[in-house]
Amino acid sequence: MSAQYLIRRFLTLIVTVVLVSILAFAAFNVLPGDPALTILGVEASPEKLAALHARLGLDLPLPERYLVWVSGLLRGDLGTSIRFSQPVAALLSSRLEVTLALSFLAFAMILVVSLPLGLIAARNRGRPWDLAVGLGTQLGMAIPPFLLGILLILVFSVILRWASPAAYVSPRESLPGFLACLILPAVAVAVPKAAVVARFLRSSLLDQMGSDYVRTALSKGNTAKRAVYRHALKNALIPVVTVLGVTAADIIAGSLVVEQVFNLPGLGRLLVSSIGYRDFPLIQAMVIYIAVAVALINFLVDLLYRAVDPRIRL
Amino acid sequence: METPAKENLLEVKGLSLAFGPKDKPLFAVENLDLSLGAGEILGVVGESGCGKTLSALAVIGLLPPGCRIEAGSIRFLGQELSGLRGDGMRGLRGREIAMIFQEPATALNPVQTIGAQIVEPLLLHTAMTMKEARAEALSIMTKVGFAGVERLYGVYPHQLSGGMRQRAMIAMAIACKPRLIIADEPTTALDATIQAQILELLVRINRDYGMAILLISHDLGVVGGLCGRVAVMYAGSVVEEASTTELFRDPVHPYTKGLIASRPTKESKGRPLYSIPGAVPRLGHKPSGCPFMPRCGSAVPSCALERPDSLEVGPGHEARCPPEAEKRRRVDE
Repeated sequence: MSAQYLIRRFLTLIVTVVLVSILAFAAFNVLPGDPALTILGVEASPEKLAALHARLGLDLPLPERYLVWVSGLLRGDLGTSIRFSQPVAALLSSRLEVTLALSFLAFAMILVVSLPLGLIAARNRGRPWDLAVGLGTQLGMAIPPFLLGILLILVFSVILRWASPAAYVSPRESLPGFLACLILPAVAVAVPKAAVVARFLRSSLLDQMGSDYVRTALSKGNTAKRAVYRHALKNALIPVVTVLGVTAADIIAGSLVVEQVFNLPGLGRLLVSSIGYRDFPLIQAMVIYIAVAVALINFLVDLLYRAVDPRIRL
Repeated sequence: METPAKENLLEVKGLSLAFGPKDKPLFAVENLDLSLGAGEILGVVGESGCGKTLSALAVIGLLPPGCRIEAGSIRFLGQELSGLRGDGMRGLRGREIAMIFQEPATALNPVQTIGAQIVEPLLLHTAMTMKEARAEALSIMTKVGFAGVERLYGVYPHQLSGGMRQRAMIAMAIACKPRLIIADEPTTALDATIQAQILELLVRINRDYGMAILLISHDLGVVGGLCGRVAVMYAGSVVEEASTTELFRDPVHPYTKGLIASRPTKESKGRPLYSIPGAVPRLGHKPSGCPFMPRCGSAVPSCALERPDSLEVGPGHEARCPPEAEKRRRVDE
């Protein structure tokens, strides 16, 4: 990997974050709605409103407000939430640990489930195993996450009583308890994504299995199985890496519906409620987090590409 | 046959390959006979779609999905291959029969190093350790014309030129010193100058290791320069077979004559090339008589009646054209 590539990558990250922050800043300020009005109520006197505007910094012109916020950001100060009157950093960090833990758990599940399923389906093309995987993944994609979440709670909490429904355990209380309460939500997040990845791997693998170099591998005396594992699989994973990257970026932004169903204090719910409150410092910080996270995932995807495909130079 | 006493290395008899439903098969190859002695080079020539590649794939047991052996036998070293399944065929592939494919750019695994692909048959078929196999692979790479083999062992196919890729392909094929190499259009995807080098390499391998080569090509020139004997295929069967010199000196079948006439020569320079009128019949649209009849300038009414038999027209020279064979006989008498 060249230094030039790293520099280019870093510059791309900066430009992405700046553009996203400007867009978010502009968009939320164009939207109708005034945080001061939300806090004080519609009956508030104009004097009180003006005073609160001044305290929140909302009386300044838009570009100036943006610069004030960016200079704070560069000093590591994310600002103060309008709604909670608490530092944004503190508010986010507890939400972030839920979302990140949930994302890692769900992503691990996606990998563990989808790759074997895709392989089994492709190797048994047209036979019962393939049809079973096809049906299962179709179902996994068709069930809406909220319904899947409710079904999981019904089966595991209400009927089997393995877990108490909607009981969130903070990691500071008990780390095993924290991870245990994330398992069902992670399943709800992972199932539809794993179904997509499994189907994608199946078709990619079938493409590769019909290619010339697999025929060459067979002509050398490889078994069909060895030709798939030693030759076709690595080639088939190249496009799958892209899909996995998109999937990771998607779940790391928080899963509103699943958080709602399982009553988890994650980012998704905070983001949506903050938009309702016009809590600009909080929204801004979350948007920046998502932009940076997505850029980092793309960087990882590039590295993975390089690992599976020697034709790609970074 | 020059040596009828000893069994040939490869003996294909009455081979028919078909697609489509069992009760209404579409024959891509019909009643094909080929024989190849140990250490011999046999050329198979024909237009694309004449069934030459399918026949080769049938020999190595890698027919594409949907294509099946409908009739006939393929004997290799006295062993019947046509019904062979699983491990039996797999043990032969790469060890006794190897194949060189037309397009080295796609026939090599793009994400594996050249070296890893050359040691693979050695690891599959011999008891060599990785270290021994690597040393053997390096010596084979030198043999096929790689310079700086230590470095090139670790490069990927995309880092090589087309000619070098085909050399890597050949190195893979000869790794286990198989008795038969099937080369399917090995030079078609290459530049003219590289073509000559690769053909030269094939001749050298044949001479040095005594490996028999079944060379498949659409190019009579390529085959003529390399092979002792040539089989000309048309619409799924061999229409003429003879030694190369005999075939060029005295072609019998009208299709062979057409092929020879349509080659560019010194005399034909500056004049438009001859071309055989019409096109190869599509699968399922073959006439019931001689498949070449619709394009043949010297057809007689009896040609439309039935599939012609292959008749001997000289020593080691057969042609599937009864009217022409008859003419010869009358001249001889």
